[in-house]
Amino acid sequence: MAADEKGTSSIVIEEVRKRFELTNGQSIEAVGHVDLEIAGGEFIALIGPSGCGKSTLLRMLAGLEQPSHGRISIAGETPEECIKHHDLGIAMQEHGLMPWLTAKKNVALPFRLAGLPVDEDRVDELLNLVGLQDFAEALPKQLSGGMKQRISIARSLVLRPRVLILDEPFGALDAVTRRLMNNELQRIWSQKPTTTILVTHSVEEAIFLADRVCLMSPRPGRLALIEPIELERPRKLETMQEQSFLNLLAKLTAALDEVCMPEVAT
Amino acid sequence: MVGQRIRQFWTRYWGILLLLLIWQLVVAVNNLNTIVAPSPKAVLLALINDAEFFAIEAARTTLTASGGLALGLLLGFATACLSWTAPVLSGLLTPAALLIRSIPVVAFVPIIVRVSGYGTHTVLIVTTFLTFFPCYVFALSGFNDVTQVRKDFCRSVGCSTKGISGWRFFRYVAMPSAVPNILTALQLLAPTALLVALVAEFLIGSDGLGYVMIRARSDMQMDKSWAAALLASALSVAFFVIFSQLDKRYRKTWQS
Repeated sequence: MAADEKGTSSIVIEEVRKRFELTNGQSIEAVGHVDLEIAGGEFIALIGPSGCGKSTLLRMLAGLEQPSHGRISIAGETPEECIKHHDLGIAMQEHGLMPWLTAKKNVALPFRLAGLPVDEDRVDELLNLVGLQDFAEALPKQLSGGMKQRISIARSLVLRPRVLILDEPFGALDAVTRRLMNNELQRIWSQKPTTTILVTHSVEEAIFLADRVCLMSPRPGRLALIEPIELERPRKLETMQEQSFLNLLAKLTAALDEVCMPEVAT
Repeated sequence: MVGQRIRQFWTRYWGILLLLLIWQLVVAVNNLNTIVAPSPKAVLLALINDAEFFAIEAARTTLTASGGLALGLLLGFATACLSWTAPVLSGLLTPAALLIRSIPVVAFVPIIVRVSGYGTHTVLIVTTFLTFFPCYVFALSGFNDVTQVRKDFCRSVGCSTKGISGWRFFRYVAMPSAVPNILTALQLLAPTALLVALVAEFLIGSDGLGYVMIRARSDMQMDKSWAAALLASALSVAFFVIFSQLDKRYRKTWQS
């Protein structure tokens, strides 16, 4: 596999559309027409109103849905080929941990599912990375919501994927935990910048984490705005109080309002 | 300490004690003949006097019921595994399961007897057959009970979630997901297995509590017959309690 940098891959999304057939014979277009190029090691955040096709686009990137039109290429390969090479890692809002397995065994599960020998050192390294080495033998029910999401992220990284796909991983957490988790995710990502695509409803979260924020229009989703975030890294929680951050927040919130409710925004 | 235990026992089981008291009163007040209805005292004495005999017969029934339940579970589980890998089998087996479950035990037993003859082995076959299908249905629905998020995660690491190629998914995700369903099946089927074993012994057996009931009745030893029935009821409750405890203990692990 070609890679721009060691361990990262660029992504090309070309004229991608997605249409779903309904049971009554009609169909709806979930994703309109998306063209996007993502550089290797770049962190992209997708924001937009509910039902605009963000998650559908993400599922197409993850190889879980097929585009109706267009193509997606990850370092020259299709998402399905990337899956075969274990180059994709996903974490969703619902953590999907196996309740009968300990935190450590949950993190090691991708090795077993992929038919690979379990690399215990790698599992321990990731538990350390997410700061849960002391909870290795705990069952998911013994962990808090934030801890479960950290295990879910560790699990998505264990096979050393070149692309990390995050679908609202902190959507179910309270505001304080969410901010802490954003900080954690940034710390984890900056230790080894992996090409990352994050879907979120939080503009603040998108600005804090991403190199570029892509705003999608209501269904059928199209890219209405791509905003580069040139805030210095590493970003701290205090960064959210800085004027440059607040300016970006105001700009993107206004843009989001405009695409969601153009009559109100004008 | 002892006083507390007695109080606890009384609070929990006063209904049973009341029932025994009413039974004794009805027999005493109406001066009923032992052939019509033996008193609890007579039944208890029959149990104590023939303790060894009842223990052996109860053990036989328990073994047949547990053996049938274990075999039914094993066969149901194995067939559910096959159905999961080849859904065409599911289309064949699920309607058959529903049909066989709808046939009353008393109508079902003579058919089996025609094929395998009288004796303990037939009782075991009947118990196995009647526990097999619920186990199959429960296990298969458990295998299919994996959430979309978990399936998506498995697919994202290159693990198929269907058919033979999905055996890793089956082993590490689908099979453990079915454990709560299998525990429920065991809890519901344990008393049923005992009931089926008793009915089969009653109709075609040559030993066990069901056979003792019918044999003692034809010998006009109603106290012995009722003692066997009482012991069978106690066994049924014990089966339910054991598997409820098992369910309670292990289900907790499956809660996320």
